[in-house]
Amino acid sequence: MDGPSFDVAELQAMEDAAWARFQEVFFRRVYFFVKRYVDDHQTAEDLTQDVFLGAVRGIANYDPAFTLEQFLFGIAKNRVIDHFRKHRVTLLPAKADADADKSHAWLENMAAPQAPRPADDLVESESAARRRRVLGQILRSLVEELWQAGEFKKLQVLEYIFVLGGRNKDAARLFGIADEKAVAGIKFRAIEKLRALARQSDPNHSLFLGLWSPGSR
Amino acid sequence: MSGLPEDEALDLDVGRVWRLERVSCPHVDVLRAYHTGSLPAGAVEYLRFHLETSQCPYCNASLEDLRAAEADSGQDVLTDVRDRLLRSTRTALRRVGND
Repeated sequence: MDGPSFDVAELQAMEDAAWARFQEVFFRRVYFFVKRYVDDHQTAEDLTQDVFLGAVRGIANYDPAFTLEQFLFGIAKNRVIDHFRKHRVTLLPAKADADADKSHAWLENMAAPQAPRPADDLVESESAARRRRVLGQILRSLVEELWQAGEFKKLQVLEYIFVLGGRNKDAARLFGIADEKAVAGIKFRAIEKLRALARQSDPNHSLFLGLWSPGSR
Repeated sequence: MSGLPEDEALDLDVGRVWRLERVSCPHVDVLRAYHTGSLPAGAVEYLRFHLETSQCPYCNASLEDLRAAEADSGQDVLTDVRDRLLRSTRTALRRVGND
């Protein structure tokens, strides 16, 4: 997710050059992101335009707890969701196949129309935002460790379970693992690792209260 | 204590944070290496999973971008899109700036 850095103050000052640069870096990815769901060039272009207009309108309230990329793609996700609600059609990726609904998992708010929109995440409590950031760092370190060790199958298993909500027995079949107990073991060790890292990241016992309550492992 | 995705001990939905923070999305240079076929087999297998089974829309968008940059016709379409976007964004900047 690393990339060019931008001066948020310049964007908030509505400077043409800053916005041109910002748009130049992101517009293709935003376009292809929305096109994945609409499969129609004109609609994808219209939605991409809406995304940047939303960014212009929303930049004054930009929350630095998020990256600009998260800010922008949060708007993109909501424009896609709004589009499908407006047209009352089921959201399916354009490139439909047997696993077509998997990318729904990446659109956070699909299942709850009344759920807060990313812009409203600004009201997310400070402690919840801190927990999210710390857990993100912890998860990232776990993923990096698996990459470095070349443990790509384990990484697939964890993403399948954590992100897609897959079941152990399906993971075993999908990844050619002997049985679902082995999958459960991968999951268990990952959870233990996450909890250990979370404890290290929470020396004041103020972030992950559940880790410190009596009886917790 | 129950495990994921809603891990009460961590007071967060791990899956939600994983998606929001895009913790397993590779750097664009890794996607480029995947695109050019210069990644080792294990990493290729993982990226294929991330793109095709997990269907990460962000990385698929980045990959489409890399593919389009190679194809002249696709790039022409996006050049027009960029020009129209610049015009509409500039108009919005004036409007918001005047509010």
